[in-house]
Amino acid sequence: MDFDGKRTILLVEDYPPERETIRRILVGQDFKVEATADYHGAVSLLSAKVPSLVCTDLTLPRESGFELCEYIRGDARLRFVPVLVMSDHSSPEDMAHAEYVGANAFLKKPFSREKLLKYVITLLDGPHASRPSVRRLRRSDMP
Amino acid sequence: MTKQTAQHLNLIGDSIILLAASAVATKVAGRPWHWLVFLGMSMGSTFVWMLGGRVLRHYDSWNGRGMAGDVVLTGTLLGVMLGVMATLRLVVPPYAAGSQIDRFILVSMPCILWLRSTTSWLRRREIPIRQILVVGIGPLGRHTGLEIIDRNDHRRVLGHLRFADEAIHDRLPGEVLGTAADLEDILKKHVVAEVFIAGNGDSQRVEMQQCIRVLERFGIPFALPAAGFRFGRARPEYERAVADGYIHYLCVRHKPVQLAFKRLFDVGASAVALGLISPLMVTVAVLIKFTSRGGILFKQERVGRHGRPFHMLKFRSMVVNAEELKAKLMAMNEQAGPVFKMKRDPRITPIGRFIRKFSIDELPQLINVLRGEMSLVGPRPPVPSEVAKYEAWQRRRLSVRPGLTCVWQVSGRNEISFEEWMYLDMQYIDHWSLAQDFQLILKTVPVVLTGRGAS
Repeated sequence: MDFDGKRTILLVEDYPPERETIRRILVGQDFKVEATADYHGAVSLLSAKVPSLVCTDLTLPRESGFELCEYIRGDARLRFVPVLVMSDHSSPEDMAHAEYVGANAFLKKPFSREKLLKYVITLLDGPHASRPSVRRLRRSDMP
Repeated sequence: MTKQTAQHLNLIGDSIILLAASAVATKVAGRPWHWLVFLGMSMGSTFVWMLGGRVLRHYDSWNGRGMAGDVVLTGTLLGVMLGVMATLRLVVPPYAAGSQIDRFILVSMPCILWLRSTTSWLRRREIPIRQILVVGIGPLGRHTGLEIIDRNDHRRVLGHLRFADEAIHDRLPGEVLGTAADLEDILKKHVVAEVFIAGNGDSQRVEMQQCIRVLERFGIPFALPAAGFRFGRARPEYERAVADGYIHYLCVRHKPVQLAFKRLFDVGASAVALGLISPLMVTVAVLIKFTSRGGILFKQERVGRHGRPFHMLKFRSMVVNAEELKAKLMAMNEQAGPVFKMKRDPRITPIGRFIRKFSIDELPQLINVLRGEMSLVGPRPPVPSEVAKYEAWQRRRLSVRPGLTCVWQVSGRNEISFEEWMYLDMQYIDHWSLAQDFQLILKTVPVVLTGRGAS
């Protein structure tokens, strides 16, 4: 949580129009959004501040979203930050791999504004949010 | 809309079209019919239509036919009506109903086909639910199950099996039916359309291979994870083949075009055959009715494709309480294995002996063929009690549409063992081709005509 009381969401999305759309939706809900296009941008932002939630695309220019998840879960400071993966590569295998690397939820692209917000709010305020160990999300928790 | 309502709507819709067709035919003919003739024609044609539709299961909630099957069946029904009306034309005075009859058919046939193909509510039928089994309850197994539920495409997750290293948890949408080692038992108990093996090719390799072995023996289609690896970007070049992230395997050779021709031939040939032999069938029906107590047809529950039960039709050749007597006679069974066969079966009626000798009792199964439950050539449909005693590999017989005749029927019939018979059926399934089907039909003719080997 920031000093101004707003919760920060780190948004990692390489495609500018999409990044901007998602950013607007989240800012509209009074979240503070730090947006970046790739793994390295994300890592440098994460080293400066621990966000309340990370939303990441899987297909990124260099390292993928999977690697970002692994980085987050491997860092003692970040280990409990919930991660939302957003991708159109959403076969059961992709979703399973996202879960293996520690993602808390998987949002299939394309998604509606309402769906994105439900996922985000569930991850932030859900029963898992403030617990020391972030429980894996149940599908039934999700819209 | 319930399926019953849909059926009734189908029937009412078709009847209205028939009435309209009568009216149009009258109009087109130029010379109007007497109103009594008009009434008779429309009532008669609707009656014939309903009767035919009932026999052929045209209005059943689900009858295993697609759009093409529907067109063929509607055509067949109209053909039947044409036959009836052509006969009528010989009987009724020509001034009453002349060329209108042909016009009537010409008008009503395209009307019904057109309406059936364009209005979805008329076509609404219950589509069978394909039961899917998922092996694996880890993230992959769970997401696979959820994906099938989400797609909502007439599939249902029967349940999950877990690999030995997977602990039961409460986040699974389906039920855990056992471990991967229980696959064989589960497949014997349930009708399963496809099995998704949601395992890890490294740590669960042995169990996955074991599952594949079982499934190949049963002849049940299965799917394996397409990649086994994690991709951040790469996608398969031929994405359609692995659209759901799985590679799908069949245990029978996939010949969709030949299969379509087979079905077309089945429908055409059985409709023509039924027409040609109808005098014989009527004679036999009358003989059966007047020589012994009971009905003309004998409906027996048999197991069809993918284990779906259906009623196989035969001319009744035995006394009415034959099934009860069978238990007493079981000790005198002359065929090894689960099938009951006896040369001098005391339950057979005199006329029954004759019609069995020349396989006339099997002729009503041409109706089963038209209904889509059977084919002309294919493994004989077993009775449920036989299937219960099948070994795993023998259940593969159920992976194709059962038939009137097969390799066994032309090979000397009762003189071979059950084991050999099953073996021949498997050979037929594995090496199936249209050419072989025609050969088998040709070979069946002399066997039936001479009554060789039949009991």
